[in-house]
Amino acid sequence: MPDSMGRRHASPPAALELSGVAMSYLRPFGPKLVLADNFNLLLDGGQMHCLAGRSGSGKTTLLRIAAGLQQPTDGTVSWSGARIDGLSRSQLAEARRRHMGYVDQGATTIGELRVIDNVLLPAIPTGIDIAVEARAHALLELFGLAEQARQQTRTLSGGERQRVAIARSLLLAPTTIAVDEPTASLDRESATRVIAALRAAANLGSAILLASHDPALIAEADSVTRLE
Amino acid sequence: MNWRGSYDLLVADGGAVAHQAQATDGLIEQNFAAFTGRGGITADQLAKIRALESVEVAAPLTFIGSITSPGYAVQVGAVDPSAATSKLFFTDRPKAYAVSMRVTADDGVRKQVLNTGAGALAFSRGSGTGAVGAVGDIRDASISTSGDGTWDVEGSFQALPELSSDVVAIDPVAERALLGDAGDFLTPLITFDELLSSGAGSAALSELIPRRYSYEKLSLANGELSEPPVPVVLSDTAYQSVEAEVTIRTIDLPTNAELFIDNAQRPPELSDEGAALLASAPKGPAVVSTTDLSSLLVPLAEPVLGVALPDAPAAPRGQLVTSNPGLTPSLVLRSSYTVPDADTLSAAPVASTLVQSTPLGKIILTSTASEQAYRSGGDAVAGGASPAFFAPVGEYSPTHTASDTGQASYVPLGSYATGSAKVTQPGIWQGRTLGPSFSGMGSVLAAPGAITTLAAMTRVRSDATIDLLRVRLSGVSDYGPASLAEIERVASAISELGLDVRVVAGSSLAPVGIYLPQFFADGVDLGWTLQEWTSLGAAVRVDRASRGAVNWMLALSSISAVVLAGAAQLLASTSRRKEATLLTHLGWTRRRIVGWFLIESSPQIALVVSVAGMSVALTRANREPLLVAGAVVFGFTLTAALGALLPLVGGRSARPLPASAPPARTRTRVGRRLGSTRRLAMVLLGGAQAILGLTTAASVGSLLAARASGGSSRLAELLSGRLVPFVLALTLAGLASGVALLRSGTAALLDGCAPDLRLLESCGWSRSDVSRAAVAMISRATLPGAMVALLLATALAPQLVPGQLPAVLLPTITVIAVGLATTWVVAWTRALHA
Repeated sequence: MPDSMGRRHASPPAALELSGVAMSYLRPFGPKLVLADNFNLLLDGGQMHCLAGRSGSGKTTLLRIAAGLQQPTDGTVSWSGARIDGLSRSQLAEARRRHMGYVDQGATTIGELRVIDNVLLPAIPTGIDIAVEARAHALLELFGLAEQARQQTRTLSGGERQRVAIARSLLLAPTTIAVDEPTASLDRESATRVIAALRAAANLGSAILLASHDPALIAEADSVTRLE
Repeated sequence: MNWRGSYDLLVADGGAVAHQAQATDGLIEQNFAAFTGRGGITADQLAKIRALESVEVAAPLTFIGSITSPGYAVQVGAVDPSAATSKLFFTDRPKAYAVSMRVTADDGVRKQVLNTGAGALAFSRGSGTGAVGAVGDIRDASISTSGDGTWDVEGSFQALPELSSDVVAIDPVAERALLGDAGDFLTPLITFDELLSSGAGSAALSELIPRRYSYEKLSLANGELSEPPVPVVLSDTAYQSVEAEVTIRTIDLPTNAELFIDNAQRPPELSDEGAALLASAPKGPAVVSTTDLSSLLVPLAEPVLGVALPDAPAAPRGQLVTSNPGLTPSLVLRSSYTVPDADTLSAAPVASTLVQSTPLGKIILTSTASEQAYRSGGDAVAGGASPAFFAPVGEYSPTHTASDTGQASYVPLGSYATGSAKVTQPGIWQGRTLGPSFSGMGSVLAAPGAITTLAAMTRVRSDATIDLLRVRLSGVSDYGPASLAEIERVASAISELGLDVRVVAGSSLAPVGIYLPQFFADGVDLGWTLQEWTSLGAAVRVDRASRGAVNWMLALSSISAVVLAGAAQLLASTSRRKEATLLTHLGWTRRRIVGWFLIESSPQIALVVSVAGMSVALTRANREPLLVAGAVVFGFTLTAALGALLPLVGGRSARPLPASAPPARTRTRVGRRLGSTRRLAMVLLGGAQAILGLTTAASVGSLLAARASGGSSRLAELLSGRLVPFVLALTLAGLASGVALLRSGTAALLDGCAPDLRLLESCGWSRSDVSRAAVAMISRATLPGAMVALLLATALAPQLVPGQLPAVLLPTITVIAVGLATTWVVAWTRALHA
């Protein structure tokens, strides 16, 4: 199946595949709102793809569908070649831990927890071992947050919290990371550090799916889908 | 609520009441006044007490003694309605009947043999007329013919021992005022006294005697008395069950047997040869007749009983004949009550007071006169000896008297209670009811008695003075502080006369467990019985406890309302903060913004003021509700002011995480950390827990305290019934506030943490993982409130339940209530995240 750039892959399976995805809402008054129609996307590990477009164009909706947090009206979503539409809630939660890291636009971290505890959140259901904790510290080191590891997350800046969230999403080495507007409310310096962190995440082998209208971030992406 | 009884003060001489109540937790026997005979209160003291301000009624009561009847007899005989030619009695051959009798009494647990007897009734040969004679225990054999030619043949057995009827004297006018409509039965006594004092003749007096007492009526009407009669009203209470069993056998005599009955003798006599012949002759089959004498055993009533001889068409109507009658005043002593043995306590009944009874028996005072209590038609009161003549002018039912004056506040210190004891000792007697005892053993219960007047008392016992006074005050409507102060004032004035005064203030009956040792003839104990005794002053205790319960519940309900309204203020502060920012940008001054927010709060202010006003109105003259209402209004004003000012003083400041805080590396710890940081939600949940816990504990505690304060008296029973709906309504109001607050707090917590919980789900946490964290979060947030509720309950426990109940009761109830509330919140949280 060709990806958004027209390339074909025989194996291994794509980290993320959206096939024929459609999303529409019925409105009480007025015509049906169509946010996506027959949307296809094939994303391999190490790639950074950006969903760009104006506000309300459906970027976040597509991102949430890709992350398995929302059901599409039509079409399928596959993580590492496995469709997720038939999974139970617990199976989906387990698959998400292995294949999908998600960073929301608003609530990126839990302010009451320490930075390191925030990063370790995905590992809590299955238990935290030494290796996982070491990886958490390594990620904080990678994103320049090693010194803030024991700080309460609430005390960090917006950019730092965004990087903590990205580090958290990478903890269990998922095949894909979905990030919603990572630089929306950041100054340019912080945005630059976040973009660097995302690139670092891609370099670690994960596929990065972004939703953003930040030109700097769009320029950094390997591929872009513009939504109308 | 007015729990007032018939009277407020009990006055005695020389500590009679205090002595009685000393060993029995302040409880005294029913009718104990009828057993005292102490006297000691003079007519002069009575007059002084009646002259005291506020004394509405002062009703005297004196125990005179017991009228003792010499005995009852059972008639055995026959009537032949076929005139003098009948072959039944006198034929050409002699007839004889062997008769035996056995009289038993049943006091509820045993049959006592009161009397036995055996003899023979014989009829000589004759043609139309003959002779009748008796041997053995049969007395007064006689034969007579009535005007219509009917033969009447009879002999009598002495059946019962003496019966005593206690007689108390009262002032019927005062007594009637004390009893109200229930005292209508005293009217004949009042009328009799009035007629007597006005010099009315015997004929007029006799008109007051009911026809049932025909002979008394006739004797009085004939003017056969040299002394004024003594009017009495008689109790219709029955003695214990008495049964007579008469066995008759026909004696088979030879046709020509000669019995040599001397019919000219009174009573007719049988020759020794005749008696020997009766003893040796063969006898026919037994014919047994059993008769219940119970209904006949009424003081001054004339019992009628006949047992027919074999072949006789009917039994004689029978008239009771007594011999050597006499009035013997006696004093029935109360039992001595002591602490029961420890060995017996395991089977004790549920009662607030347990005692062991040792009956002291009965002593004879004096033998002052001779009087036949039950006269036969042919006898007349002998002149010269001037015995007292008891004129039964009416009857009364102690049961009706009790019900008419109200079961709850009825205090039978006169002769107005039947009295009974139920056996509770496990075993074959359990559940039986003891009646008055003939033997003097066992429980002392009031025997059927009689009531006369003080004026008549002086004719029977001129030495007797008044035993007790029951004083009711005017202007006392309840047992609040003002009323009690007035009662105490009068009590003090009476004490200055040298008398013993007890404030009974609406006493009530309460169960008492009484252990009866050596009840049976072989010395075996009967064990535990249950009686109702009088608990002095129960109404005051009940009233005080009920006021306390109501005050506490009103206070809690008011506080619940203010906390709920205050919570609404705090919950609004977030949205108000945004409004304040907007309004400030629009040029509003701080003062104007605060005023606007206060106007928004006016419905809640009105609610709180209404609740406070209602609390004051419901509890009237008490100071506590005023204080509570003031505190409620102040508390809400403070909360409303905070609610209006908080939006202007900036947002919340983050609380730094202590360095010692453990890492949040488990679902539970993550949840707890989330729960510990939502201050507003914690305040709301804490308030809810405190309200729910304290309201539940206070309602249960108040009811139990009211019940315990009143004891297990009838008043306390009645109070429970009336207090429960009121306390329940207040409890429901408090619980509704608590539940509303709990729901608001939980919703605030879950709403506040919703982004965090969604984040956890996006991190790969399953629903059950998130649910577990949410439950931990809720539990952590509710913990401070639960602790506050527990501390408050522990602190308030002595105020709510002073002394009567275990101190741990309220905290325990609080823990249960808080636990239930937390369980509900957790279940709700789980359901939301399922």
